[in-house]
Amino acid sequence: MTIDFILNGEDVSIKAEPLERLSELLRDRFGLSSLMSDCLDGICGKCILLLDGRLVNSCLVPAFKVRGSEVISYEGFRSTEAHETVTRAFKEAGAELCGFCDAAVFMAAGSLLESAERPTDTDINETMSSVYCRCATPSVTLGAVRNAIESTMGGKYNRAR
Amino acid sequence: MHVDDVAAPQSLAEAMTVLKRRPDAMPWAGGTLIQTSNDDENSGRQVSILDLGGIPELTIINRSDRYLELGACVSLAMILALPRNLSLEPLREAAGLIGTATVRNLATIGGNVAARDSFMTCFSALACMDAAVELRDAGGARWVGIHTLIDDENRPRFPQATLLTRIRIPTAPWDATALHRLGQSYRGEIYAATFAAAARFEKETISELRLVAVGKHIVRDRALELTLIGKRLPLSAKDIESAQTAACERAKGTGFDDRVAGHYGQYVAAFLASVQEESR
Repeated sequence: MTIDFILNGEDVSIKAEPLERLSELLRDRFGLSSLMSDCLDGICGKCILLLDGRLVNSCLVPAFKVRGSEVISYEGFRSTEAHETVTRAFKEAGAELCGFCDAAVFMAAGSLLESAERPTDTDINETMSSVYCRCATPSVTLGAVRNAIESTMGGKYNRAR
Repeated sequence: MHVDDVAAPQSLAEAMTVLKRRPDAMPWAGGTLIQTSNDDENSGRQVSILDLGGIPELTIINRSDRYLELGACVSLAMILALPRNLSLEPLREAAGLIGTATVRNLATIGGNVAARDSFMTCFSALACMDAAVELRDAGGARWVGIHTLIDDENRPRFPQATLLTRIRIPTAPWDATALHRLGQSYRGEIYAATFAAAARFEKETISELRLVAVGKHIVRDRALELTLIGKRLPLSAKDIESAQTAACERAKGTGFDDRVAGHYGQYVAAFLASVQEESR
């Protein structure tokens, strides 16, 4: 079937099997190497991207579900201000992420900067634990994301639920 | 699976037309369960997919004085985002136990309830909460208790050529609730079963009690519940011990393996003990 969608701001069209996994479609056919199809079970989180504004595991999304949707992968996210904020925050927190994790971790952190409401620690931990990463400890990650949120949304970080 | 057709209806009426034409069509909402199931039996099967993602009616959340109604395509993330004063425990706990935040952005309550192979996590909570489900088929729409989705052998029974469209949950608050995983698979991610419990008290007496375990089968021992309803709190150690033994035996008799049945008995005992604590 022909799948028309918006990928990182550009209209694209591609023929694909309906059940082809989005992670594989984007990696193999569009060359988006940030998407690691590691577990194919929605566990490792290395294939996360934004689908119509929601952070999802692209290995669980079949191609037919993307028709008419907007997809933003790390390759698209990399050119945003949020990416710059997030990478700076992680660097300042002393977190050195490996090349296998960094795209997904930054993408997850970046999605929190777009939240309508200021994310709480619980929100941050929940979202960041979607990516299986052992490069940075959860507390370092939490601190980095808090700082990124503070610098984007302004004011003191709200730790209350 | 080989897909020969993907229908993407924009309304429930259109979806029912598709289902009338293709009664074997596979409804697809979040698809997380289908995408992660290792279904060798269906690997060569030709399927027609009914994509429910474009039907706005299925994502509506309605609230009245007594009930909360969730469209079948409401995501688990949306359930977790509902106001905390809605008395939605243990459903909220169940939703929070499923996958990661990114999986919960995809997974839907309907997909969790309408699974055909096993009872999934949310089923335990909804069975505890006396939820009703709206089913639609060629004959129209009807509300039925969630327990009608259980067959005589305590296995899931979801009718063919039927859509689950809404779930109605009474919002009268419970005084005590619990929800736990039972057992664990060798991979460490997939649990064999889920335990859910809820109770109400009146004048230091148990007035309502639900004890449910779900997995490949469902265990709900009404006889055990009735034995405990009306008992004054705190329960005696003997009452708790005999409830643990009865729950364990019932689970074994229903088809749960010994280890999981043992965990179920322990959680029943722990819940009844916590009921004592909370009633003081």
